[in-house]
Amino acid sequence: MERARQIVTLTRSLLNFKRFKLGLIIILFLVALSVMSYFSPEQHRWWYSYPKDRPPQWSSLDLILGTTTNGRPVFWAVSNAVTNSLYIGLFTALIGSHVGLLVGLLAGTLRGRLEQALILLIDPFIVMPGLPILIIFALALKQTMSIYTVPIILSIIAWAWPARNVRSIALSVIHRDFVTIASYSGIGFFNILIYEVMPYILGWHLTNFINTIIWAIGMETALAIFGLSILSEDTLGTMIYWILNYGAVFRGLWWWVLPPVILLVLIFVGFYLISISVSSYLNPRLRGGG
Amino acid sequence: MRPYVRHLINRILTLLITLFLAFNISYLLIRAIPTSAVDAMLNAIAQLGQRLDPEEYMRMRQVLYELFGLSGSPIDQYFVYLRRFFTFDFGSSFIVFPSPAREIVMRYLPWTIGLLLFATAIAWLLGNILGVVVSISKKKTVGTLLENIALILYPIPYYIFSLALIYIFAYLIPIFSLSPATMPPIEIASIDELIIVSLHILKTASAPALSIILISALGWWFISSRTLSLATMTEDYVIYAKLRGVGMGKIRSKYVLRSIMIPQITALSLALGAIFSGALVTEYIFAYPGLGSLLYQAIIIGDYPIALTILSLSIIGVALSTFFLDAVVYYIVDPRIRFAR
Amino acid sequence: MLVETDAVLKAVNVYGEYVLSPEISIKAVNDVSIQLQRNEIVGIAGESGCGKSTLIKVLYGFLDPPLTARGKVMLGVTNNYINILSVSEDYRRENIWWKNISYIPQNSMNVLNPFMRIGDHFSEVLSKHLKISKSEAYKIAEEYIGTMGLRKDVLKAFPHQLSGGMRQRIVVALALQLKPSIIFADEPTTAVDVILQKVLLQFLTEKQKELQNTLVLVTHDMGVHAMITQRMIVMYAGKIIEEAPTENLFEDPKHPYTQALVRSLPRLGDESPKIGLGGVPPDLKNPPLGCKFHPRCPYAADVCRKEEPPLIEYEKGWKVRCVLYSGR
Repeated sequence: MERARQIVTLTRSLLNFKRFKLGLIIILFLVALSVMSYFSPEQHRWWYSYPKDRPPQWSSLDLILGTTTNGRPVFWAVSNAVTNSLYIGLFTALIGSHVGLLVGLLAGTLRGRLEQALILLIDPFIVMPGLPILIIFALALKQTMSIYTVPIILSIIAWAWPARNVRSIALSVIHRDFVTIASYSGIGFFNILIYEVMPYILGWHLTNFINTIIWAIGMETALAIFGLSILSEDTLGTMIYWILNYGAVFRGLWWWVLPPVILLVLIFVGFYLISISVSSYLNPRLRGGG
Repeated sequence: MRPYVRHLINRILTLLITLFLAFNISYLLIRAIPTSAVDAMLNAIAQLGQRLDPEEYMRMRQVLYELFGLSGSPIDQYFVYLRRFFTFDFGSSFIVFPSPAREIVMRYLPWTIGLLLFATAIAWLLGNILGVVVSISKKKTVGTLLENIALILYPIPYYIFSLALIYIFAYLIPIFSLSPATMPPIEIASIDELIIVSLHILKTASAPALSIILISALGWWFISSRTLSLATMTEDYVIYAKLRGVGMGKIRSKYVLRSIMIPQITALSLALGAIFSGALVTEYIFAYPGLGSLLYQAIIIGDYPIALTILSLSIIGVALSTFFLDAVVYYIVDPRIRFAR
Repeated sequence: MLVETDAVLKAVNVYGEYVLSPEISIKAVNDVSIQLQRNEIVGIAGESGCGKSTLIKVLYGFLDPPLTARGKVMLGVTNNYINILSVSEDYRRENIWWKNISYIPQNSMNVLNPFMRIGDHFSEVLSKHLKISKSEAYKIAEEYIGTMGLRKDVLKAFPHQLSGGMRQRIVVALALQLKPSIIFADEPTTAVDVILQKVLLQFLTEKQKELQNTLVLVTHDMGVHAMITQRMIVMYAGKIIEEAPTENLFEDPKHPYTQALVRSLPRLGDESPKIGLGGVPPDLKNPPLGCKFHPRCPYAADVCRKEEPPLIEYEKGWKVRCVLYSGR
């Protein structure tokens, strides 16, 4: 059976490379689109600066994707939206996954009362349905919603899954022989943490980071659909809010409906491909190496 | 102490702490709302053109003041809120003043429950069975194809997918009707009525259910089931079964499916929160008469009583369901726990 | 027509290869021919990686990819011989496995399905092969379990509720269910303490005597071979290098490798220091030319590096593969 496993790992790494490449291409495309938003004409932010409900025209870059019922060019709106959505995802991941990393490490390596307390803290946040809580948050703090506060609010829920993940990895590593031996040889707790445990955790931390980006963008979109996100800014979510509000689907304004939906799908799929190819690249090495 | 008892205690503690934490978070949030907002709310009610019975109005004012911490001592407020949270009594709704928020929410609740039960159960079963069947067969091509499709579906939230579905099926190829479903009052006085109501719910729920099932079954459950199945196939007891000449059908059902059910139940219990959240948005997008659509209306006019009722209902509902799956069903399904030495 | 004295299994020029990729394959079994007689206990010895486990998998016909096999494995069934390697896997499953040949796998303590009761393990195979209902199969299993020295209520239990020793006995009982003529046991005593070892071996030999079948015991533990086998086959790097009755083999091992194996076994009153064998088994992806053992052989000569010695019959019932004896 060992021989079978050798083949499997070989083909897996090739496949990962394909998936990784595909994911990377998608993300680079999105980043390029978002960078273009810095070259957008000033007036695109203002409602009714263009004739509304126009289908795509090849005459100018502004109108390449037509206009919305708000009288704004879809192309620039979407480019801006990608930027903001990515920012929100990124910031939430920065805060949330690192808080999760810390809590998970502590919960996985400590013993006794503190460990129990941390576990009983992590699990409820995973069980709780995130959206209703975030909705109440957003309702109460409607005034303060901005591109910087939304990630903070999202992080309140975002840290839980990474924490749980990191904890279980930390647990399994701590019980491995080489760590026990290290502790017998007198190496201190923090040294063990940093030099023995961390290398394994970092791989998972990266995966958690990317998954948190995906989750955060999904959540922000959900809040936006309910009208609870930052309506003054463009995010892919708020674009969908306006689309639904103006009944664009039924009015056949496909040039307005499709871009945000397709871009959202691209964001999710692109990041996910990278996430799984990274994690399965690291996994067999972790199991075999050490 | 038997391992199951320890597990049960752990789960009960988690349940209690979940409720406690969620309750406190919402309590603190409500406190964060400035008093001026309360008056604005009261104005909003007045402006909604409802016929205002002065008594009802005063009662509402009282409730809102209580809720938002403008009357009574802090300790009183806490316990009052505690009572309200667990009895779902947050006063009258704004939308349909003066009907109590609880009543309104209860009207929409069965629809959401129906959709969730139906879609989640089918998706879980379908995804798992599909994963097992496809992964354990001589022809690898179907498995790889489905796996690639699943990888694309997995990270997409239900509601994004439902937008695509709406576009295709309502606009391009009209199959589903998208007018809001009629809402007959749900009075279940007999088995017959239960069946009729269930069928009606099923019919209306088919569109949102489809988007949930496709993503859930083909995405989440298929991928995890496939990974677990492939891992189980390398287990000693499966190889031994193959050696004994046990047929593939039996291996799929009694060995592999049976074995992956246990971690998949745990996975389901952890996913309930996410499934519920996703379903809320999907309901709104499909104008399905469930809590999602109600929540949207509540948010638009800032109807806190309804929003809070839905919040406490969701949290208590999901926490209880998680507990049920994790503590009760798990026990029934895993003989290593049920018949511990 | 098959007679009592005919071999119950004849393997001719059997190869077993693990094909990892079009370029890389591991010849775990490299041209092996053996015969198994009725009512005997045969031991297959050799260190890890010599191919003995693969050999019995091939003889059994259990070819889980990437394992492929060539050659003829003629099994005596009623009046004729069937080549196990040429019939389809379905045929093997329906007609040969468990009915004519049985298998006791490695790690036998952990091969039972944790989610199935013991009784179901028995009735599963019974109802399939005897084409009877589950309840009838259960009744047969109840009687059967008594003859194995186990209590009836064991059938209702789940594997985790039983001790390791009982699980082993159940795996043996499962193997003997349909009274097969050949039983392959793959390292049944590894990872087991000596007491359980003794109990298990006693059980196996008792049953063999009772049913008069052929027991093939694969293990690297020379002590086990000395204890219960009647005849031994020693393998190295996928080939048979010596074959002889057990007592003779231990008294006067011929092949240098066998000598090292036998010498490694401590005996009462023997105070001489134990000398291990230096070196490592060859890499089967790129085996050395000539005799596969020559890098480690204390008697290696020039010819050993160039030519592989054939397996010759040194005397009646004794085969060796070594230039030291092929001159005779």
